[in-house]
Amino acid sequence: MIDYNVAPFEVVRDYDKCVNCRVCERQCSNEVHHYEEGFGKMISDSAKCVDCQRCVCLCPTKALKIVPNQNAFRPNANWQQKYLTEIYKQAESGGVLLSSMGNPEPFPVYFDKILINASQVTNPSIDPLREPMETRVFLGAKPQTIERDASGKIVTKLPPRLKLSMPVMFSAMSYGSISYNAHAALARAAEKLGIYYNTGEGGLHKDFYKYSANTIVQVASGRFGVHKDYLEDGAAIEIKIGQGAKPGIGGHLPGAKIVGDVSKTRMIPEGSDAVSPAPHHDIYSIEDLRQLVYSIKEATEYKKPVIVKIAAVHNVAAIASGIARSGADIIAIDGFRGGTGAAPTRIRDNVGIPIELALGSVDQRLREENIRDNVSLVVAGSIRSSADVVKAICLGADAVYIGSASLVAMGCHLCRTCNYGKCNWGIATQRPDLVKRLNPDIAAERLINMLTAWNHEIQEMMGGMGINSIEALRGNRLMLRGVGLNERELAVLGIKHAGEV
Amino acid sequence: MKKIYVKEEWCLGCHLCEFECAYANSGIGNIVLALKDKEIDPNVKVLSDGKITFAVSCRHCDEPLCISACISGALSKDETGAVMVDKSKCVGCGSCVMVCPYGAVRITKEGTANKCQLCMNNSCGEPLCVKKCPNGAIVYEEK
Amino acid sequence: MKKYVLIGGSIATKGAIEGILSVDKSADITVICGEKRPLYSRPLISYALEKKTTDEKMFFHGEDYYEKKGVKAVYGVAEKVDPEEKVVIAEGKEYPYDELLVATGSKPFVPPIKGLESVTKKHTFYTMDDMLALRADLEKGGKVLIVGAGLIGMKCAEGVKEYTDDIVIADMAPRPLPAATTPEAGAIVQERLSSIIDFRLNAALDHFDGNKAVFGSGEEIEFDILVLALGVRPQVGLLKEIGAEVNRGIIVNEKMQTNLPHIYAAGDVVESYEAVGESKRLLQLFPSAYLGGKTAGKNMAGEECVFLTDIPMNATNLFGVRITSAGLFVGEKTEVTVGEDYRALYAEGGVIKGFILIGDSTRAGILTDFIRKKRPIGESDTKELLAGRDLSVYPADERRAALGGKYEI
Repeated sequence: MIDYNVAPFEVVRDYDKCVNCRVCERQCSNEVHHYEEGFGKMISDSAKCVDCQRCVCLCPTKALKIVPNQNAFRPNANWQQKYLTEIYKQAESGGVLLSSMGNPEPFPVYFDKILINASQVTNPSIDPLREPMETRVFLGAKPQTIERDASGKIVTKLPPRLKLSMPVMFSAMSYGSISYNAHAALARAAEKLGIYYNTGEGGLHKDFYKYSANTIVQVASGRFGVHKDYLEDGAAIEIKIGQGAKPGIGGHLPGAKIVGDVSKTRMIPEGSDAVSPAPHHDIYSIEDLRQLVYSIKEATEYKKPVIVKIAAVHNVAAIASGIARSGADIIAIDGFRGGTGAAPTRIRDNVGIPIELALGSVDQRLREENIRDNVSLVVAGSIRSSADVVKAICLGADAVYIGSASLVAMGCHLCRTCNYGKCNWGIATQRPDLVKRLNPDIAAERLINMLTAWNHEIQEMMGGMGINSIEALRGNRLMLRGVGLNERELAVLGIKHAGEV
Repeated sequence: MKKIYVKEEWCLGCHLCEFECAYANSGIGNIVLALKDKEIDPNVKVLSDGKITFAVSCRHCDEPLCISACISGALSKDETGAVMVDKSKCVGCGSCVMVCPYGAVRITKEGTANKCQLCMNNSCGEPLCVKKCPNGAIVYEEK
Repeated sequence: MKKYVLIGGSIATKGAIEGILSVDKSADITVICGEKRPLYSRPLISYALEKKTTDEKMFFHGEDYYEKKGVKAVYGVAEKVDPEEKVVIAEGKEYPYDELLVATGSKPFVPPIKGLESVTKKHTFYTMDDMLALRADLEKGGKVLIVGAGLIGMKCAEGVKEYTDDIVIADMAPRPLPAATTPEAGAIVQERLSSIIDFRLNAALDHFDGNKAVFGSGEEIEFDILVLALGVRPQVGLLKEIGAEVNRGIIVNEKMQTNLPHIYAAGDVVESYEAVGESKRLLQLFPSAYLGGKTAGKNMAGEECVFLTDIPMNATNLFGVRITSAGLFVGEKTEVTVGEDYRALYAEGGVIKGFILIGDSTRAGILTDFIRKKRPIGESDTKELLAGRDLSVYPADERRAALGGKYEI
């Protein structure tokens, strides 16, 4: 049989620097490197390399680099090499192509075409190091009217809310798709930072119940790991309708990953595939959704906010409008660049819409319908920096979810092979020898460091705009200008072009 | 005193500590020059019980048997409590090797005793194995 | 301020000083040192002779060790202990004590051999003075006869070799190191060293006739310099005469106390508890002296402690042949040969009783620990323990605690 596969990367070893310590060999779960006794040197099999950069980072003499394979098919702007290799794979396997993490294709990144304002002369800027700067946000429904009791006093009873020290949360990543240690790190960091992490559709490991005050528990179509204690333990409950990386389809965690505690936590037998249906089979309308929202509220005595998470799709504004009327407290919208542990490549790369456009239209629609205060908006789907956070807030978000960014903080290099289950960074794997590579003490500290830095940056940008409260930034589109965007794009985003007053 | 402790649940068995130790104690400023084509004899060794790996170096005992047995005065505690080696005094009798219950002292090819001295005798100033451990499996702290 | 008097100025005394000071920082300590030298390491005499170390470095913790420790040193011979008055008389002066340590060590044994008085250059090899005297003679040249192929005789030979190749070592025993090794190991040592050393074994010395030794077999060996290395005898006199319990050495309990109140003893002079044989015996070893002295010191200063883990052990390197042993050579023997190295382990009732390694001794301390702690061999294979060993042979919990700093093995 002809091997049509071309190694996408090439391992380049500087033999002048290599000291044969074999650390690369011991650290590569893909078995790329090995010491050749007779040769007296390290040898690398580039075909197995996924470019996760683990060996590069651990090489004590920096003797390694991974470069794109220069081997080229005859150039063709239409039939790019990628399409050919994918066809070769499918012609061999007959299977659906699987991919991981977010859509890598060169669609426009609207965040990169939006610029932030700053004060000059009038409305002077604020120095966050000298003056108070509020990044705390509350998520949940806002009271619509002022109510007074019989004696005329204002009723201060508010709907259940989430309190965040900064407008960022860790998005849903299930125990199973990521490792125990990755979950431990996220939980610890969320607690330390005063934010929330999200269980995803994998249930909640018994060890993490102690972080309940900072845990959002998810209820998805497979209902894996959902039980009374689980619901009661969360600070909020998220109904997952869809995910940005794979809108319209369910999840699939292969049986190989359903081992030990993962199986216990998901409440399914070891080795059985965890297949989440594409839809919730009890939800075919907003009315059905409302029933589930209220069943959950009823079960948790109306003490916890309910989040409904959807993928950003074409009619996202109309769907959000319906959700805002369903009794949900928070709507989470996941853009098409959101990450995943595994998704069919075609879906990941071709379905859904950018989060910036979805957010712009949802926020405007809810305002127009005067139901914006019914809900808070949380957006996800490739928030890469504090600037993306600020831009999202200006476009109308109350807060953002970060998934990929948090994994990157823990060491992920976006090699996008989570689906192999051999994550060299100990994140997207259940193999005990690999899981232990992620020391949650270190990972939690890195998460905390990253978000502490982001919070400083958010404050700097807010201060520059002369704004000292993140609440005053929400939906403040005047603080944004587009560059290189056409009128339709600007209209959907609800912002002016740079240079316009 | 500050000592090196091992958190074996985080040891990856990557053996980086051994190479970093050899580099730290080589007296050579460049890691490639220090390690290239050399057989290393580090003061820390990664061992395994078949299930788990762990890095072993001198424990700097409160009552070190090696010092009790040292006939030459080559082994002694410094003011911080670290067990140090004075190679110029050592006669290579191997009494320290005979008594160390950790197997953490050895006689080198030079014929004298050697062991971890917490990088206090080289230019690192702090244990390089700890600094370079990728997973926090070796720590240097006060207990 | 408690008064401590320590008789003897070697390793047990060093241990006692450090033991006392670890408990009683204001201790008033007086050392009466019959050898009239600051603290030095006796085992270094052969290395000094061999020029592997210097005379200066023999004072292994500095010539000012006593000053550094705040100890008064009296260089003189203790003549008498008065347990009623609690004083020691040395060089005519009285030294009162609250607690007394007798660490008088031992003395080379010189049997009454006919004609010995006719030998012009005769030496023993035990103290620094012995070494200096021998060196002075060696520097003038000549043929050397060493009588006694025990550790002292053999180490002496290694030093002598630095001056002359003309050495003969004679012993009544059939092999060198008869006490410190097993017959198998001794034979290997003999074989390895036979090209370097001229052995006369099974050779009973009959008499001397001037600078000529005459053996029972009739063989005669001429020499210029004679070294008698026929073992040592504890110097028990000082306590024996006041009623201390004495066998070959002074009998002490596990706290290193003699049967006389406020009088302790340690070092080469004592018969103390030995953990393998579980009985009292003369050990006369460097670590035993130090740790025994330290135990005595702590107890003298009021901190109760016992020394129950003392075992015979020895590490040495003879002409490049490394010999490491510990415990007793009793029980079932397991032998392995690794390259040129010979290793034997002795076990009984599931515990290691002793071992001897010729050659590589890497991590031998782990085997020593098995003996000292009477660790069960358990699942470990004695052959594998001999072939190589590391921390992984200890129970995982203990290892984890030790590496994590919660426990010291």
